[in-house]
Amino acid sequence: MKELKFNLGGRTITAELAAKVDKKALYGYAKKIVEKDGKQLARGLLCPDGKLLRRDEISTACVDPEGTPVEEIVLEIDGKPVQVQPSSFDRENSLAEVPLKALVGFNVSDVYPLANVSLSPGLYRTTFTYRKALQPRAAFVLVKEGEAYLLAGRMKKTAFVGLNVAYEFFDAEAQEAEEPEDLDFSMV
Amino acid sequence: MDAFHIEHQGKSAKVSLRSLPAEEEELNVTEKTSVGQVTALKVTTGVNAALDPASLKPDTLIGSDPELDFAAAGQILEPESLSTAYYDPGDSSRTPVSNFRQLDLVFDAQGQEKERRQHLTRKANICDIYPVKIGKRIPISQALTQFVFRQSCQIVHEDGVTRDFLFAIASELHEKQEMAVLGAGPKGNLPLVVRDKGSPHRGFLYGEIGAGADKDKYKLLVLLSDQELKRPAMASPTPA
Repeated sequence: MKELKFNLGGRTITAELAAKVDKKALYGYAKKIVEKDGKQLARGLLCPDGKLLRRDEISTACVDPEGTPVEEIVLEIDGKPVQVQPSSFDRENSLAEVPLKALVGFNVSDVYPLANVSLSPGLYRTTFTYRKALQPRAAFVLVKEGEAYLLAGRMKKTAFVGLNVAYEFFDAEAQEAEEPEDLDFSMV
Repeated sequence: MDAFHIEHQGKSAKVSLRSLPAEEEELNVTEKTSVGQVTALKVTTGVNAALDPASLKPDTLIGSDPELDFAAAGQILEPESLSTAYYDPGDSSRTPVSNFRQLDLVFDAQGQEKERRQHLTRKANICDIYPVKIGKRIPISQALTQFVFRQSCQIVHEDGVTRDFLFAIASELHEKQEMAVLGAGPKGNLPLVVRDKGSPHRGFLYGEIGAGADKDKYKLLVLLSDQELKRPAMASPTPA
């Protein structure tokens, strides 16, 4: 487990980050295969000249207008050079207690269990990036009785709707009986 | 925007399901050298596909590069000109195979195969002839700490009648400080599939009524979850 450091109101708090928990680890998964006459087939990419390439025969190359870049690539945001931010393991991450409802509208992409956290139960806002990144992601530390999790993801904005709907607020383009006692999450 | 067919207390309505803007805008990142902008191209790697790398001896690899076919390397490929094809891995000529079957191998959490089935392609069910039903209620604090919400969308009205309908639902949830479980299908107990070929998610309805200047306004969110917030029975260490 890797150690994370947080700063809550000037106090340094440490926690150990365990391996990411995903749906696959909890419920299993489904893998699509293609077969003919009981024999599993491999997937490839067919070129216009009729040649069939295996996945490992194709790669991505980064090139500048003169070909493969020989000098260091500079990252820019809106035309200005940017520095890559250190990983969350290499810095002290600010932590602020927030009401539990702050989780409403937060789209979680990664869930990490935390161990040895000396925080009282509640929700704390922070940022997180496992590796170096341009911008750490929004994250929450959720502490429950006996367990704690770090939830990393993206916060969405919501709006109250009156008689007239402010359609411009929402994304113009779409993105992508019997009541069981327990919800079945094994929807693989 | 998607249409959302929802039923509450015996009445149903077709309303809009809107995706939400991000709190922080996506960074407009470009990669540059002094010559200009760097772009990514698909190229051939020059791997010698006629050889099985596992069959090569260390001495062979040290002495020469049989695993590489330099003549085949560096060819730029146009992604739109490529199409997926399947072939028999034992066929050295790699002839595309037709009339194949697509199957799903279903594995349990321990990685053991438990089922083989015809490949399942799900259809969207949020605006079906069967409306999405509002079911069991859960205290907000319990729902937020028990499930991992992957996606949030907001339900908005289409007209005055649907506005009153949605306002009443939001108001009820707000007063009781509860979230409601949503279910699709004839019995209202199936997970929600927002898009064709999409993944199934358990749906939860969150309602809030504004205060002050927003007191006549409502907020009704559909929160989608495909995971409970818990640790696996036996966690296996995997990199992030």
